[in-house]
Amino acid sequence: MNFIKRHLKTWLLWELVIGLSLTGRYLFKKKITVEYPEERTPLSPRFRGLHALRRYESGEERCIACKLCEVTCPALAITIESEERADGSRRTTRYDIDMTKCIFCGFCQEACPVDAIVETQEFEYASETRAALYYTKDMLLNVGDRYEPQIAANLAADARYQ
Amino acid sequence: MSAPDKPQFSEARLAEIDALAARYPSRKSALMPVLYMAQQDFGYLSMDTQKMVAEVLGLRLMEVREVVTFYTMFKEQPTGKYLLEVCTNASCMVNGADALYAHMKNTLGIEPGQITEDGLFSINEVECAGACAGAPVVQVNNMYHEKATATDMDALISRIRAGEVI
Amino acid sequence: MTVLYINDEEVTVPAGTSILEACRENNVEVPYFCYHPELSVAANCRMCLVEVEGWNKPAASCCTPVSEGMKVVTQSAGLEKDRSMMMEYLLIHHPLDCPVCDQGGACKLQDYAVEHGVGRGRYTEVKRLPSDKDLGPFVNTCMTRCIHCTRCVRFADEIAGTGDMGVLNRGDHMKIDGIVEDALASELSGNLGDICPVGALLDKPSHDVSRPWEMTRHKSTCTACPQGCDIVIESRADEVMRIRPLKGGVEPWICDRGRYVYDAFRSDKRILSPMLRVGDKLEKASWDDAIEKAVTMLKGKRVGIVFSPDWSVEGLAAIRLLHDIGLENPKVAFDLHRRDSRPFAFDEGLTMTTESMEQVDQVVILGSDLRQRFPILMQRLRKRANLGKPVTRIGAMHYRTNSEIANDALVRPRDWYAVIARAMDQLKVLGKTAAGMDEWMGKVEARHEAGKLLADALLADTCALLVGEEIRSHEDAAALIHGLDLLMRAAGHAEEGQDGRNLLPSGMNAQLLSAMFNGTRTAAGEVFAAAIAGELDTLLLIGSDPIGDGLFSRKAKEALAKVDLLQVGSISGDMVGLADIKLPAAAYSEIEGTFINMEGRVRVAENPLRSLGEGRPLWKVMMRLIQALGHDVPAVNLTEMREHVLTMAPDFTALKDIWFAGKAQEDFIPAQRNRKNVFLPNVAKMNAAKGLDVVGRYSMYKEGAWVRASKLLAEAGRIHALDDVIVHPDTLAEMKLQAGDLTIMSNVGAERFTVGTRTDVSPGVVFVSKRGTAGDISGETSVDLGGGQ
Repeated sequence: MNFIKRHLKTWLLWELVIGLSLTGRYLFKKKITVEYPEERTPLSPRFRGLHALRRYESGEERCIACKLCEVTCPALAITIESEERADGSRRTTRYDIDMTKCIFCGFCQEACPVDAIVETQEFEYASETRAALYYTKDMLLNVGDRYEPQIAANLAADARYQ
Repeated sequence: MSAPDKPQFSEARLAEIDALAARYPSRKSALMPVLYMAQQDFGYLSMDTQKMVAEVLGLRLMEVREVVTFYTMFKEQPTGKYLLEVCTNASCMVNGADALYAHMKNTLGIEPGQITEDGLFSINEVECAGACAGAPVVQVNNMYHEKATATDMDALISRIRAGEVI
Repeated sequence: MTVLYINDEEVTVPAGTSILEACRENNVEVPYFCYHPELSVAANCRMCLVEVEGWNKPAASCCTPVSEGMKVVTQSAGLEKDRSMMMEYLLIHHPLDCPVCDQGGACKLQDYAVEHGVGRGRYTEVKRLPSDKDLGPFVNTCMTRCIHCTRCVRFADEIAGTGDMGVLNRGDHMKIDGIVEDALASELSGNLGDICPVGALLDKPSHDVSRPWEMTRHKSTCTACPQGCDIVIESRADEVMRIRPLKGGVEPWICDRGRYVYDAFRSDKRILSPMLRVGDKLEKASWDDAIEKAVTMLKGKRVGIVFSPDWSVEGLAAIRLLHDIGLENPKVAFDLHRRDSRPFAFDEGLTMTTESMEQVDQVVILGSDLRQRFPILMQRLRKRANLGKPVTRIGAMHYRTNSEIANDALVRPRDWYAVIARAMDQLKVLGKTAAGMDEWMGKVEARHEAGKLLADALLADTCALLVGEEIRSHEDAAALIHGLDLLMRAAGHAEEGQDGRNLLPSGMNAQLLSAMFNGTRTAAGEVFAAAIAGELDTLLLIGSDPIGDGLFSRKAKEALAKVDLLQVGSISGDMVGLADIKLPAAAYSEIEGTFINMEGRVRVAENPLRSLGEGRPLWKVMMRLIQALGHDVPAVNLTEMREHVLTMAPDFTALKDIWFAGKAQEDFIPAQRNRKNVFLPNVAKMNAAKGLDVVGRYSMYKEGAWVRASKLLAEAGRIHALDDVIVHPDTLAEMKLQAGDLTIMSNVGAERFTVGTRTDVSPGVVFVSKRGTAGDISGETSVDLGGGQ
């Protein structure tokens, strides 16, 4: 019996039919592939992408140069220099993040006492040179200005879990 | 108008201070009585007066300042000729000191720290004056007026205004 | 000794020790804020509570002395509750601004809040908001952070002696305040930031710039004065952020001069790479080119060397090697403050530690503005005076001090003979004499009553003479010091060991230098004179700034205009534009090296910062020069260099022990004694002098090339400025002159200066601020005053 069965399956290309039936099932199923970049997957509010420095509504930068992000950064990607500004407040004169070093662990935003440094959902910042991945304070503030609504919404969405 | 002269103790006062200081093992100890003398002589303890006291007793200005600011009865600001001090602690408060205080401020038209235009009065709220049996109590310079009422005080104020010395 | 039990462990401490000190000595942790080992006990923070068996309430350990058999418990549930309540109370008014507070990360309040705090406050009322004070350029205030431990008040009172800090008001209104015009009056004010346990008082220059955890600490030796304090240089990468006293070092404090000199490390006056003169300008060059050019200036030329004593011992030995091997018979000098280069009966250096100076019965300061020159030594004397031990002082001015001076006498420099002779008289009357004393006395006719004070002090069982700059820079210093030595001998004081004869030096490593260069050295003035006379081709200045410092600035200017200048150093000083070649040598913070301070204490720096530019340790630069001059290199590493030092100064066994046997220092490097020569007073020369004696006045914020390059100290110098020229009003009256614009006639001509009067200077003396408008006059020994027009 087994002998006949095996020969039938062989000559009727039975395995092929099973394989193709799987293909056929997926052919008519609803597609899950996302057509990036035309289409995008949703991102968690906790997504850790490109860094941004935020401002208060008044336009004043939030960062107070406490350097906690610098000291907590495991990849030593952050460099900060600070001084007392003319009005007596403590501010950074330099705030650089080397994105080639950054491992996107999120410790910096975790350490920040004033929610100044945050990681946005932006991840499309690839560049053709390494130098362009060295983000200075102005660049980071620009990122912050551009994504502020998104950042605020994400922080609000995540606030109850913090 | 020439600049106000620096305060200076009279010769008699200086002799008195020396006699007083001699009673203590160190001159420093005479600080409080000397400050009272200075307050009596000059009305209040201006920075210049404090400097002079420090000089007379051989102290540092800071040592004098520390004592002056510690005790509330040393005045660093000028006051009127009569300083009305209304006690507003428990017994006096129960007996209407707050209303009395408000009334007196109203009558005089000044707030604590101010002096009436005629230079006669200043008013202040003080902690327990230790005369609870006669609450409410108002201290006018060194004299207590117990069971003080608004009428009493108005009368007192007008008597002083009329030129009576109490 | 008292035996007690701390947490059931038996410990033995001296009787009278407080419980807290007993705990600290035995490494038992007790939290505290207001206690400080160098200050009096205030017991107002209540953090150091401990339980003592049998007592029904906790005791403040800082003010409770130990007693026999006492059983102390430092950890218990009850104490933990007390401490957490204390923390809650202290934090009631404390702002939550740790992220912007420089103290954050090195803050006792923060540490204890983590350890003992409850993490929440129940206080909802209005917070106190005391306003900040302006305490000058060095101390930053943020009074909301203050917890009223009063360490700063006690510091100002007990250590600085200025008493310009205090506690005003009381209870909830209590606040720390200062009576301050432009700045705190103390030369130790930088320490306030260190002793504040919270962030209320902070270091202003480094404020908001860095955080404590970023710092790399380098143990080093301060060379801003011969005291040579132990310091810790705190750096971020290669940039120096702060200098602080070493914890557990000999001196608990450092002065503002030594602390803020770091500003000069980044000054544009630094020599960071070899420079060559091309036309009118100096241009960067390679080491090879610069050395090649330097050789042409040195080889076969008549060279004068003037170097700074503040280099490391190894560097100084390398200079000596260059002198011996590389050059042909050069003239060499190093002390810009000494006119008399003859060997002194007791040469520069102390014979006792500043600590042991607290113990002696009598201290006599002879002609020194000790507070400006040696603030830390003055601090020791102040501590001593506070214990009721007398300090006698004889000098040209009642220099302002922060300490009680029991006996104070004024004397003109030319009257020092008479002072010493008067003291000799008195000792002789008492039957005390020494060989040679009569001969010395016989040369001096005059007598000065200040000598009585000197003799009285000498008659004490133990007496320390502190001989200062007025005598050291005297034209006839050797005779005066010989006279003082005779006096000490006559009074029966020891001849060796702690012999009480202390000559305050003007730079580091004085003991070594006087051993290494005795007989070889000349006075710096002679080197410049030789240059002016055309006897020299090249001047080699190694770290020395003769235009900015010392007594010979006028001569130096003239000399440098005539000869070629090869400058080796870390900083240009005031010779900008004069040098033909500059070779960078690493600064004291940037080298491994050994320093000897005026007490003879040896300190070895082993963990230097990286040199900012192309600077190399001085000994390497010297070796390179020797090699380029065509000789064998005598030393190729630090060990060989040190062996050379020991060959040059074989008596300095302490150095050998420390370097090669790895021993901790036991013996102090002794100061040199040269008793073979007899130097008698040259009274005739003094009598031939002009009418008024000149004394140069020293400002700690302006003296020294490093100090002048520091902008921070320049600001302090502006605030604590000295009068340019002052004389006693009686002196003016005698000459029928009025204060104001007057003519000063010296050997080099007449110049007009604004002359002021002060009653605390000696009559017959013109006081000249060395760095003031009339600074060059301080190089003269005597002048005449003339009318304004």
